[in-house]
Amino acid sequence: MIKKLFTSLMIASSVMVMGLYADVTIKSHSYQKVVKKKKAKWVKATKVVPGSVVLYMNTLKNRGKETAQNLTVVNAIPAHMNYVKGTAKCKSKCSVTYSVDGGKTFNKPKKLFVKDKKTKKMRHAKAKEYTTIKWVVAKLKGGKKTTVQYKARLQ
Amino acid sequence: MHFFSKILCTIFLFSALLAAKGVPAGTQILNVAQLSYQVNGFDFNTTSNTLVDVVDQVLDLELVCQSTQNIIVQNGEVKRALPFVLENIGNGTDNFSLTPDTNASSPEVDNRLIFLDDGDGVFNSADVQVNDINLTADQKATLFFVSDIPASAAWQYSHNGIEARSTIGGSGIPGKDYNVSNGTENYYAVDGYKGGVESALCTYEMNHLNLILKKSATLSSDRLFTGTVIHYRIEATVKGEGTVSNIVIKDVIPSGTTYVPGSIKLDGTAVTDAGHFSANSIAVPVNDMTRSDTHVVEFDVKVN
Repeated sequence: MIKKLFTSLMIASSVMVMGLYADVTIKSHSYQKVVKKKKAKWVKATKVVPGSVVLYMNTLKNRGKETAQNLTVVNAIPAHMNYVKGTAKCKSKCSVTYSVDGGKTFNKPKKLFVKDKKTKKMRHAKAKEYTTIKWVVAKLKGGKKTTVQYKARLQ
Repeated sequence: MHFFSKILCTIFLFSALLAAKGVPAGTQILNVAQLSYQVNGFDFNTTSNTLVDVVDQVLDLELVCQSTQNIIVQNGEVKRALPFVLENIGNGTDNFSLTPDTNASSPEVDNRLIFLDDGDGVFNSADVQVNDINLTADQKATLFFVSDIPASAAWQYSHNGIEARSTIGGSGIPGKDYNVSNGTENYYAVDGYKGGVESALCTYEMNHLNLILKKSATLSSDRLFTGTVIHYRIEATVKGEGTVSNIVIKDVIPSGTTYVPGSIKLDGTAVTDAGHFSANSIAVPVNDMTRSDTHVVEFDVKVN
């Protein structure tokens, strides 16, 4: 009985320790391009009007000590926004895939197909038809942070 | 901020402002991301904050004269209308102030007012006078610039119209922003590339209605002798828009000649002397004429 209790306490404390070390947070920010004195820079988005391009940046921060692996970020492109081709990027090494079915399946752009509304035939998906983006970052060491980002245009 | 810097700061907005229509102002754009990862073989999941951006309002409008031709007017006419269509091409409801606008170099007209069409596209007593108008995004309205034409006007053309200005903004500085609220969301309003203001003009053209008489004579001989018959032809036409009423073509028999009885014709058809010739002159009524009408009166005289 005592042995069982001891074992349970050990498992519980291990999970607690794991939980403490497995503290990776994700925070989303939006930015907009401004031109000031002929120099362009991205500032916090405050004036979003139809046609505006918004840069969405997700910051991943590993507040634990252990290295986190296979960090997978899935970001649905907001309603009323169209993904801007080629803008999904990572600060560190990662792979990027996209979905055209609301995040059920992901693939590289060349392997994304949709049914054309007029011809009813399958064709390559356009960037503005992407519904979701997935980034996979191989690893993030404890105490470090990284970012994944994309741009979208307001309809 | 320095004015020049402000202008530069706003340049980035121009491409967006050109595409004014779109998602309605006040709409919330939500972005949220899911994160899954592994640590020492254990799986973890978490969700980002929900990022909320509120769509701002572009203040933009289009005002166009609806008449491809000049509107013909006459001296002393009252309440002559020039038609315009105003469209809110921004992405939110706006209130536009409306001001009668006359081209600086154009002759003045009197009692300038703006009326809102009742839906039939024609200016009439059912239309109401307005100084401003509320339009939702993409909504259009037909407006009339209405004025009186001075009785003494001597001009040929007068260019008149409307200036419509967003009352949310309308500073005339494209990209300038304002704080607005739709009751549930606070957001910015941004002047479109026209600066939230536009004016358009149509043209009044004065109708100088004239009756034109062209008289010609043909002799029955090479030279004038006693007994030579002179055939007179008077052609009547109208220049300008409208109707010239109760026209009577009159002419006097020249001295030294005598009227040839029964020679009066109207448009090739003989008319009686009775009622058309007396006191050594002819008088042939042709009643009303417009620009499309032509009448010809002919008669003969013999040299004494």
